[in-house]
Amino acid sequence: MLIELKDLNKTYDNGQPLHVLKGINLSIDRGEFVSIMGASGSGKSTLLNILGMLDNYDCGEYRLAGRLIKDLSEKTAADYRNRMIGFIFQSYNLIGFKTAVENVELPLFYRGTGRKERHRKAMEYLERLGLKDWAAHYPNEMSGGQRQRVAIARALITKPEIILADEPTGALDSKTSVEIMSLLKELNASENMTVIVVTHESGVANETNKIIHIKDGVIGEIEDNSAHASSPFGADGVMK
Amino acid sequence: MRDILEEIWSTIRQNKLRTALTGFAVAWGIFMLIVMLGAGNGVLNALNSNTGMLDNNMAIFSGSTSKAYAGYQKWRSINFDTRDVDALGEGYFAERVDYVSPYIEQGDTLVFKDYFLPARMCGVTPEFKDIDKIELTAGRFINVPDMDGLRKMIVIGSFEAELLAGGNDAGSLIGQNVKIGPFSYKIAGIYKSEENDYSDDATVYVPYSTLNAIFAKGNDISTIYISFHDIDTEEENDAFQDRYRSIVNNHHNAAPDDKGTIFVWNGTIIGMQMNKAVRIMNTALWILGIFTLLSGIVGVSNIMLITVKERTREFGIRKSIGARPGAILKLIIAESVAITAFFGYIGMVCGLLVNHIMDVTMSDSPIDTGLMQVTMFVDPTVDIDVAIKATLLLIIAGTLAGLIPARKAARIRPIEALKAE
Repeated sequence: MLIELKDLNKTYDNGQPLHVLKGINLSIDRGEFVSIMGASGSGKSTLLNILGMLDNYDCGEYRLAGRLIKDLSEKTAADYRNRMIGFIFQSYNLIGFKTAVENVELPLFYRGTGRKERHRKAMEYLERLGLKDWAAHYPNEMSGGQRQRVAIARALITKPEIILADEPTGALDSKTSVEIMSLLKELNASENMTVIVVTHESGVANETNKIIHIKDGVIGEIEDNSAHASSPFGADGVMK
Repeated sequence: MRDILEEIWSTIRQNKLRTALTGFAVAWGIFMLIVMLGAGNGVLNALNSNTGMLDNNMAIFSGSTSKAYAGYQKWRSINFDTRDVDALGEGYFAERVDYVSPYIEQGDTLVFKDYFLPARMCGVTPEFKDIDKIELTAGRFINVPDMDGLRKMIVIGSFEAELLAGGNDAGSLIGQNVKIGPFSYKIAGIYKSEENDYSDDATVYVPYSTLNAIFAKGNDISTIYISFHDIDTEEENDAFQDRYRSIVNNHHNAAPDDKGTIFVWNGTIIGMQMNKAVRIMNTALWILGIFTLLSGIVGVSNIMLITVKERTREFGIRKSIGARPGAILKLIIAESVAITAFFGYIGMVCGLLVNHIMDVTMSDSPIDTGLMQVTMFVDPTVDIDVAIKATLLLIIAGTLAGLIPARKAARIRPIEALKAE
């Protein structure tokens, strides 16, 4: 198992304690294409942040590729994130004053890769995502779909263990959403990349092979969706 | 290194105005520091050159009584006589005093060929050369046979000698006669004198004994010059002064506790006091300068804090893709150091430039105070090493200025940073 969660608990304490995750048990295998679905406040984003080592959990166990991820120092967490995780965010989270290619290079910069090697690889990934001609453009000169593809290139460049996508289509129109989802699907199929998508849209979840429902901080139904027929909108690929 | 520089350049480009304003504060700080230190040095150098301080020599001036004593009224003026001069070679004084020269003056017109110069004849002993550290450019100074034989020998200044020689070698004047008042004097030597714009009488030296005999000044010595050793503190100076005053008071029937009869001008002590004043002034200038700098540094720190706040989300992104806290820390500090170093350098160069302009336009130009000419400014510059030190100080300060915001930025948890707007 690539990801193993055992009785994971998380409580936020902002004046009043808020028990967000109430004993999550979950395992995800290498090469799976999974979505975590739930309403807002269900704890799905918190779960994703913990999976991405952006946040800590209180008790339980989280193992990633056999390694126990618990109480990491900021430095170790940064190194693990750099090596094992590729993030895709709803709001792209590109750095505005850097060009597309510079944004894609950045994870390799923090890994200490040389300039030329970095640039070569970044161009390679941009080309794969069809953005070669946009390499020297700044994010604000691109469309939402293009920005998200830059973000995907940035996530992929370190060859991570998992891709964590937090509402990757949340800011995109339906046509672009379909494009991005089929891109993730293709990544999963062709490179056996483990992809975890957090969403509240059933259409998006329907594109994935397995849907994990989360409600009020506990895992509900885990639905096998290899047929992509769970959503009434899924059949014809319309997601919104 | 290149990556860091590119990062800094791209963020600075984002905020041109803000960077420029911060930079101005820093540049202004270092500029003011250097200009102030330069101007301060100018004044200090002028002080030094105006006093022409000489170590280990002393002028003892005669004064007047400040109280009635032994039937005499007060305010009776005292002049030294030979007893006072001789006393300096005995007992306590003999241990400390190296050379003694009584000093008397007589003014008259010096005539040589077609030249007429107002001159001040100074009657001194051969020792005066060593006391006043007179340098000879030709010939010799007054010697003992001159004194013993009451010879009418004279030593003139090099500035006047050039003039009198009228284009010939000044040394050719040795052995020739000049006329001062009713008598002729033979030129024995030429001493190195400063340029004289004729506002001052030409100072010429003749044997003390000769001048004394001609003008009968035996009991009319206004000043005694001595050189000494082992009087290095103000206490020792005061002790020396008190002892000598009591002897003079005794010789001249003045009250034993009368302080007005002599005044002592001790080059070493004056030098020490001057050095102390110089040190205080220097310290004051540094403090002022550093406070000016400080405002620049606070500016940098302030700007960096705002920058960190503005860039919180960006740091969150960087962290989420694997930037260690140390990398963020380095980024902020490098930016802060780059801004302070760059603008500090500009400030330093401008400061040195202004110092140079002051040097060219104001330096060495005397100001006429009516009584005398005083040079207010001499060489108003700062040593390059001081300038570099100040700039290094600034860079260190820039690091410190960046440190607090940088630590703040490095500590933000990525999850919170990503939520920031």
